[in-house]
Amino acid sequence: MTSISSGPARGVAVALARVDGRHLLKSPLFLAGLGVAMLGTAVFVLGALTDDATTWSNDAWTIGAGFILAAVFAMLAVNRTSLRDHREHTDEQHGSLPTNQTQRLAGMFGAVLWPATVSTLLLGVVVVFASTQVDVPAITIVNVLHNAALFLMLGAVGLALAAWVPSSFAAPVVAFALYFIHPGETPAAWHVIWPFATLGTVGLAMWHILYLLGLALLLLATAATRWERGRGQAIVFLGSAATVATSLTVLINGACSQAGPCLL
Amino acid sequence: MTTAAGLRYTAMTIPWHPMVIATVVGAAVLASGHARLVVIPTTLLAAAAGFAFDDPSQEIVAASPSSLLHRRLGRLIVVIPPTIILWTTLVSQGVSGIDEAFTLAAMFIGMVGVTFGIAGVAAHRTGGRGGAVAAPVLLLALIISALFPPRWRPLPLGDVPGGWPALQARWSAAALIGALVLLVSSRDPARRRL
Repeated sequence: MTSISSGPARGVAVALARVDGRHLLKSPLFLAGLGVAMLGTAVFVLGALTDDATTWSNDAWTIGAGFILAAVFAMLAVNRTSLRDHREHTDEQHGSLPTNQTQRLAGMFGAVLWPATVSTLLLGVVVVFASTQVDVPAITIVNVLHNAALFLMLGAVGLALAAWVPSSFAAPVVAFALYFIHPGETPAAWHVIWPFATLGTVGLAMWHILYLLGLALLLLATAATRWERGRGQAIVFLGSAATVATSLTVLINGACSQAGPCLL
Repeated sequence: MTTAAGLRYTAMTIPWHPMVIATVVGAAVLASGHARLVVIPTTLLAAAAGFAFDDPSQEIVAASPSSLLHRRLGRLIVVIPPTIILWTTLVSQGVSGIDEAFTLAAMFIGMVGVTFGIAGVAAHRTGGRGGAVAAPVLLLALIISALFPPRWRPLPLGDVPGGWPALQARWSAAALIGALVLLVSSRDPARRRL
């Protein structure tokens, strides 16, 4: 068992992030998600090695879909880890520790950085390898960063669900919904609210990353209000809400302007 | 203790909130007017049924003079009727034609069978709380199935060559395999070894 030293709030959160980050990396759910990502990658690589007609724009969607599903499974892993106290009936016991729930929440969100980093590095390696086989557009680098933001946002979804709906069935319901429900084949401006939307220009893709990060902070602030409603939460809530609103305004106006085709 | 009393006490140990969540979300999805999304309540109710074997008192009743299979059958008798009633009520709104109804029924039975199989195996490794594992594993199974070409897809959610009969046959096979896995996983841990 790894001990957690007492100390200032940030130190506690960092120590918790380190411990739970390692747990998440070893979680069967996260590993299953990585397996799906690798299957998607294998489908593309096999195609690239055997078929000269394989292109990044037409065939790399299997890689993207695989890593999106890895993020969904990471959300399930984060939710399951966050519900540990609820599952083991140790809420009251841990509530007596000299750390509050907000610090533990911050620590758990820090833990999400571990799977997000591993997955993003893996996707980076896949993209570098793919660039030796086919032409890879420059915007793919932004898409790799988008993957990291997606992990953080879905991790925050897992945490918010654990805070407000402490049921081990809530996160799977969200996962099934993300798997089954799609905004539709015909592109429309409102599709930018979908976390998996990919934008056609670097500028808009960066705004979508900002949107996801804003959403992650908004969800965290919402989760924190389950236990504490202070000035800090209010500032984070308002700041992240403003970020989400601004980025959505830019995305909706820019994605499907009347001047040209939709960039979704 | 009478059978009715036994079933009543069994019902008290089963977590029912997943079925409530599945019903509410499934009804909301269908209320949005997308009949093609009828697969969502089907999947959610099947996943919720996986919590049937979750038993906080598992370690205590494990020492009682009844086999694991007998105890699990009791839980299935309690869980299956409300699951079927809820699914029929929800899905009857979005089905057109007898073939589609039979296919959806086969899909539901197949998913429930797979979920029970997973939950039965997972219960051994999770201290009697396999339900939480069953839903993600069902999702993983559906994803892996979708990677196969339609001709070979074991758990198809869309069209496959052969139409309705092929879909019904594959989901019936899935139900059978799930039931067999459940039976094997329900062998009593204290059984006499050969």
